[in-house]
Amino acid sequence: MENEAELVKVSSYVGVNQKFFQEKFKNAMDFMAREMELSGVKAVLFALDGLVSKQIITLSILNPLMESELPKHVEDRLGFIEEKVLGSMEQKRESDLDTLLVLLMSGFAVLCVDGCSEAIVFGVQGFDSRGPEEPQNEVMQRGAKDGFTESYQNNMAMIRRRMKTPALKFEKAEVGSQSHTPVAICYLEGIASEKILAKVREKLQGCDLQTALGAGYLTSFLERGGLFSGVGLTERPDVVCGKIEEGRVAILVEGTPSVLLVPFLFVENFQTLDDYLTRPFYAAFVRWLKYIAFFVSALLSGLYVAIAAHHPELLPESLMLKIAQAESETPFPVLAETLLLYFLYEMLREAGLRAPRSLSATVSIVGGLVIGDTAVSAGLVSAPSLMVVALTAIAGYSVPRLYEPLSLLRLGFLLAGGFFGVWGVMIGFAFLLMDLCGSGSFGVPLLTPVSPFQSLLVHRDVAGRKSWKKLAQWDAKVQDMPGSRERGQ
Amino acid sequence: METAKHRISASQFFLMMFVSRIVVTIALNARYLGGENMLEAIFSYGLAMALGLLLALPVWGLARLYPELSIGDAAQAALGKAGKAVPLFYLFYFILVNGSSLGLFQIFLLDTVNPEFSSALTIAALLGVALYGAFRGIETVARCAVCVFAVLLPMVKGRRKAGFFGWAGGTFLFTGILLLLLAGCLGPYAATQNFPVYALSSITEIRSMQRLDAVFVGVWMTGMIIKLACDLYACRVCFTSLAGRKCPKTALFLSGAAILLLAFAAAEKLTAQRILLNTRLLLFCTVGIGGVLPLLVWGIGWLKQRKGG
Repeated sequence: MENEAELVKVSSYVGVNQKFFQEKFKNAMDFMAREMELSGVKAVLFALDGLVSKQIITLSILNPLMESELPKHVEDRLGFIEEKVLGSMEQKRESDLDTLLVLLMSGFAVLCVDGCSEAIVFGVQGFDSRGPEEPQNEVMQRGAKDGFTESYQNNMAMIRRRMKTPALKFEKAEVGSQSHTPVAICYLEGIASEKILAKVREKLQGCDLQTALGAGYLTSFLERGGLFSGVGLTERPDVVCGKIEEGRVAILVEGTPSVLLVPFLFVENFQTLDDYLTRPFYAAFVRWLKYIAFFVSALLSGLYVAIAAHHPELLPESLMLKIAQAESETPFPVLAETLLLYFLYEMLREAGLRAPRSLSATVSIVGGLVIGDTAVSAGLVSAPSLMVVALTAIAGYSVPRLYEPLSLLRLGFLLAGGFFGVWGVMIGFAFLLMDLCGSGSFGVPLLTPVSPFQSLLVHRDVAGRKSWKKLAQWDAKVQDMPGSRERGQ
Repeated sequence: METAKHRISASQFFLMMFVSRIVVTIALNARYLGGENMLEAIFSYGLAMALGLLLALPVWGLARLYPELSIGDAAQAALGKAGKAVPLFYLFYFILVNGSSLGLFQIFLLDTVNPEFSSALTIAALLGVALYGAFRGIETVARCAVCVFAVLLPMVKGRRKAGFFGWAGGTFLFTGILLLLLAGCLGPYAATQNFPVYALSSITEIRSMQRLDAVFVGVWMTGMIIKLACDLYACRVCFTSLAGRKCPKTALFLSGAAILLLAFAAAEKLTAQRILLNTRLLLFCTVGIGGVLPLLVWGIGWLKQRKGG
């Protein structure tokens, strides 16, 4: 008999394989091993409860097996079962025990037959999964209402339903040395850059993770760091289809309803599917609103503190007097007051987000009353400061994809403006520009086509949005953007 | 020896140069112009530009002789080990010139603006951002120049020669108009001001420009950042030529620290101010390092190539 410690291949003795699996799944009550005798030959079917459909196993595997007559020759047994007894779409032979373990944990059933040094695996997944719902974080006015779910297979089907072309590819990969999380690299063959694809494969292979419980785990492996991410995230299949058509690569991760998109440009943070479904002039108007909202959210509180504290002469006289009067009635300097409001707001936002749904209404009311009314009427904070902080917060929600960097930028500009006045804000802005201009995503500059500048592209889909008649004539691939190192690949 | 890679376009490069040049003109005053009559300075500036074109000829010659090499590498190719002195001179030149510009800016802050916060800390922050830009590379600085001064983008595209003349002409035009405005609006009052450009903007009657002194200084600072980042990147190239390998971050930090020290010295010590803000010394250094050194390297390189067949 083979030594169990050295066992890596399926043994021709079913008992040895059974012992191996039982040892591995010791104290795992979901492990199932169904022993049976097929024409006098011992066989065991292994599966994990909850991951497989017992009904499919009974009807499609156990019943046909029990009724069959196995050939006497050992070599013919597996071939006979595969060809004459079972007709599952997803079945294959496997001899590596470690691979069988991963397959078992992915919802496959494993059949070991005495005398055979290979096992047959069947795809009989039957775990419950949530149906497609409207994405909570990417609400659209006119777009489709279905969003990705936690099952990456369902997500692949959602993309395939919208892109009926054989050029659509889903390459399989795996991340997590413990979780063995399946990942699908989705792209359009002939459109996506081979160089970018190779980089994606290489980076996913280099993921030094034990577990990958969400798409966000992979983000840091796909980007070089910096304030703004070069990796996009979406919950919408229609968005993924639009992006891969422009040469981007999508990464679907099992267990998460968000799909990663690379390369991802800075201007894409301001684009939504609704922009392409409404009239061009309105889409351009909304886009400009978002650009303004971005700058308001990042700079307004810093500029307010800088001007109120250091350069009041920049304001019209009447406004300056109003602010000065409001400030004279509060105990704190304008920087401390705005910082206090900023942190209070962020705390309330976090509380509203994390509190149980039944409590979030209470949090909003308490927050609104405490900050909005009591603090001002008690003379703790001034109304202009409160208005500025509220305005910057609301403006930030116009560009939800940038909320995280914006909340930190706000704090940075607030401090810079408080300590160095308008100059501090300008130095901070120069730093921000340096960071943006120096960042890239898979060889494509993050700020393209604004910098490096290309007038045609900016007019097409950045400063405004051309009509579909014109957009349809363009063959704009992300790898061909100005400044890209992957141009023409 | 490292060969240069073409990473930025001619328009990006000359825009960066344009920003670096016009930022200096903001500090124009009667002392720098060598006389009280600013209108005459327009003619002088035209002559200076012509001299600048002459000075640039050896650099063009070098670029044709060694198209892939920076001047430091080209000097080593032409002069052997002795050529290492050339990037060293350039390194000192960049430190001196930027120390002088930053010092002048700090004097401006102390004398004219007199802010409530530390001016030394302000210029240190300014240099810090420029260092960050230099670390991120020439592409970052060039793209940033495009972003900040997109409005002033001169119509230079593609070809280097067109870019060069666009840059020279654009700078001359900008400075000429600036001097004309100074002389026309301020008259003899301009000669009494340390920073007449700033004085002009503070007393302007154009409503949209009124009381925007702080913003004006901010714009100057942003231009300074581009100039500093660009020159610090040039220091990085010089270090690479000197060491024959990639420039370590500490070397760039040291250059930044040296610039900062010179700036502080220029602002605090009168002796240092006399040396660092001495226009004749700066002119001598510019002509020597910007014109004579490239001419020497080009001459020897040309002879060497002719000898070698």
